[in-house]
Amino acid sequence: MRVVDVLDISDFRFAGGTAASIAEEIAAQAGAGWTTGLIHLNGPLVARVTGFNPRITEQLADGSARLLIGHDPVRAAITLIRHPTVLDQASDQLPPITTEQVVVIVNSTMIAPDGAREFDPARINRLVRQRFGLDPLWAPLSSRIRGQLLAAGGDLRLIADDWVNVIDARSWHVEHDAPAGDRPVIGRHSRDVAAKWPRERAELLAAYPEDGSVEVRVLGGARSARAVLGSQLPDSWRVWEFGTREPREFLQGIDTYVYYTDPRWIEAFGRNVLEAMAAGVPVVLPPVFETIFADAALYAEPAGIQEVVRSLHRDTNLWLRISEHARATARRRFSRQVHVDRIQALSGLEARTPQAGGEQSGHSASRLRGTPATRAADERPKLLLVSSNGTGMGHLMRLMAYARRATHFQPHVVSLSQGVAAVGRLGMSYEYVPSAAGLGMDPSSWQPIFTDRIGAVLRRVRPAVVVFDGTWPYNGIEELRSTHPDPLWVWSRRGMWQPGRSRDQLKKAAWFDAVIEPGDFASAGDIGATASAPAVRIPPVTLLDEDELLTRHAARRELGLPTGGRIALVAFSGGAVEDVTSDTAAAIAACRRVGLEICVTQSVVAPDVALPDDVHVINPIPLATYQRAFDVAISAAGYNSFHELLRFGTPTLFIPKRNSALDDQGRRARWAADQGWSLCAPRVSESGTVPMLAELLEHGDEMIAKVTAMDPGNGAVDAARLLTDLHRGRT
Amino acid sequence: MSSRDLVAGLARAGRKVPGVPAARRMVIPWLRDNDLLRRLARRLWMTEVGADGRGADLTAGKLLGGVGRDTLPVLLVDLTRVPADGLETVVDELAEIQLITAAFRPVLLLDAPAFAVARKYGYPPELVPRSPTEVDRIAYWKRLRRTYGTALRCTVGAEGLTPDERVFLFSLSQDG
Repeated sequence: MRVVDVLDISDFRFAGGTAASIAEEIAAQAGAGWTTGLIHLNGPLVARVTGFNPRITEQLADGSARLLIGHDPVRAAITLIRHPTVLDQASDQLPPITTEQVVVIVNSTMIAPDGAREFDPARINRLVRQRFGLDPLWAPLSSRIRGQLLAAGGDLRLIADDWVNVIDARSWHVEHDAPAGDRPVIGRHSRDVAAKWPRERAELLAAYPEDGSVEVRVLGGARSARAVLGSQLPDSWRVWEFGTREPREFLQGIDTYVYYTDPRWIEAFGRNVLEAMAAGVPVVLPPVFETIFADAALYAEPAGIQEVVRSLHRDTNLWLRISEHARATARRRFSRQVHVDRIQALSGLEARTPQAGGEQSGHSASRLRGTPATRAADERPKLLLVSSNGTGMGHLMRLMAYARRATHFQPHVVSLSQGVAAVGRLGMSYEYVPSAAGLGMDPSSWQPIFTDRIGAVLRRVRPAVVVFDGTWPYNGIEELRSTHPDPLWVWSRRGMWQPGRSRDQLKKAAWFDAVIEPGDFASAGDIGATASAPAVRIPPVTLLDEDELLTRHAARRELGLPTGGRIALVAFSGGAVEDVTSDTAAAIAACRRVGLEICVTQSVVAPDVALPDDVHVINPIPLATYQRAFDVAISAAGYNSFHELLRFGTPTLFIPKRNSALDDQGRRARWAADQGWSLCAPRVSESGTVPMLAELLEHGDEMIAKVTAMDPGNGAVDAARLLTDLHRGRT
Repeated sequence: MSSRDLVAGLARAGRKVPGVPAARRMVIPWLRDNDLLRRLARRLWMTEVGADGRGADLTAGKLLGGVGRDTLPVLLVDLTRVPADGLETVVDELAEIQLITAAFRPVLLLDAPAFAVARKYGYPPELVPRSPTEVDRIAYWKRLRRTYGTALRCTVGAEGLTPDERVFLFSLSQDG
């Protein structure tokens, strides 16, 4: 015998409001500590072979409910049958069930627009008696359905109060400003079936004009509307197919929710309307909805709809008042507690403290994704950090520098760099998205992959703020901003671009709410496109601060280096764009001639450089932690290496990368050399490098003193503050 | 007007004929589930079997409903490493995942004639020959692939489905 507190019987393949309503009730039941069993029946309303609704699947996975298949008997305190047609045509699929109470939830109209009956209440009564041995309670979602049931006659036991749909109003809360555009933006969300649209052209256009006086946004498709209009959809309409956008995000982009259907068809409740109200969007409806939503919505006949829409657009105070009242009503009259209360009243079940484990967590499907108890308890807003692949670790290091200091947020990193594991070593969550180059794919083929993958991350992580660090914002970002309008987007792009290159990229600043330019010690010498571009300029960014570095002795000990003697760091491994072998070989030879021990970094992004046996090979992340182990360095002049080596006091000979795509390493290295902060050479040669190493060993301290004197401090602190302020400004 | 628009227009017009919607509600589900008509439709329209077994003439079992279940990918589920007393649990779990995802039609590969576990959900079983030579095994697998037209395979270990295998099965879903 399988035992549960609440047994839900339905067709869990439904795509729209029915499944959403079931999912809310399951969540409410789990919240009350009740076990929920699901018995699926293949009802007649889903024509094609289809998997369960994703929300239901998620609840099975997280242990909120348990799927009951096969013919072993089931016992439940209360059984909820949602959608009588399901039972009507599939009751033979049921196992033996023992229960104290059966509730038939009538969540759709009994009478189709053509006047035909969708189900016969008397027959459902008989089926319930046959299968459960008792008379069911009938639970209409609204007075409109109650009226149909009463008119049907027969011996039906109706519950006293309508079985209203419930909603977790908190999860639908969106930040929504009063209308500010030139024209109102109205919207609606429903499946694309004929009954969900006005059937007469004039009536449809009265609700959803074609003259451009309002912008019409439709989530759910509009083929049925097009059929009524008899022409192409108007230019002032924007349409998304069903399921292609998060409804919550869709609602954030509209000023007023206008929902009109075929007047012959009776909407049982209007879950989509409730969702709009919970999101704080004023709702305009036909007067027949007044019995459901009372004063929480505005009502108009078709001829008066646009006047209501315009008045809301004109009068900010009115809009705000209606918006807040809609939210409050969703919280008060349609909360999950309403469902818990009615289950208690009908079954006698007492709410318990939710159990994280228990019978359900041991269930097979629940092992797929862990139980609710294992989910993170971190309630901080999410900060999503997206890095391009670049040629080194600079993008990732800057993002991690921000994340470490932006403690207001819970960070999550998505990187196109194969060095992304460094993020994990700092204790942050991360994931990897292969770049076009990593897949050997044409960028135009790769863009949809980027958009799809980042879109999935946005839906899952729900960040408050997204920071993209890179010099080339991918085109998908613009689309993602449209489909996921919630988060604020910040572009972090360093300066020092090669003159004349990539100026067109700067136009993409329009996609972002803010642009941060991490400063450069050599910024006074920057003549690239960013030098005059608007941005919030912050001091140079490094992952670490000076007090986080190990002492010379500790660093050498941890790296397994000799504690005595002088050691040179040779670091050309920051990128994969060129063969670093020849520079590395010449540097090693030069170091040997001046009596230096040699330590070479072997980065994960250039792992295959062969080295002599007497050379120490290291791969620590972050390298700066160990920087005091070294007396001098020979290094490429990428942003990260350049600023860490100088800021943390290692006299350095910079060898700019010769084929860097955009980063003007040559200008950066030459500028530093001109200021007397370091030395610079176009390439490494044994004979040319030896005197430079000697100079660094003799005068390095003076060079570093000059750097220290002009260093304005770590800009990561400023970036973190800016991100926090941006978010607080929004909230 | 596209052919799609034409068909949609005709369907709308048809629905306005008195009595048609009610008849449609009763008749269409019956047509969908009529085995004879489905077989006839297959002969008329189904010509090719995809590399994952789509189109193979094979039942999806008893759990799934709806048009198109005969065209789901075929998944060879190797249960030969599962002890006899663990078979039912594994097949129950497989059935749950099939119902939730509607993503595959399983063929159960058994090393003992425990056909009752397959009958429970109407899944086709295969009895894998005992102690064959490697040549025999290759020939057997070739035969399986010819029969079901699929290379999609899931090997279940003695401990049952692993989390990775479950994830793989869920990933076969066409949703999202």
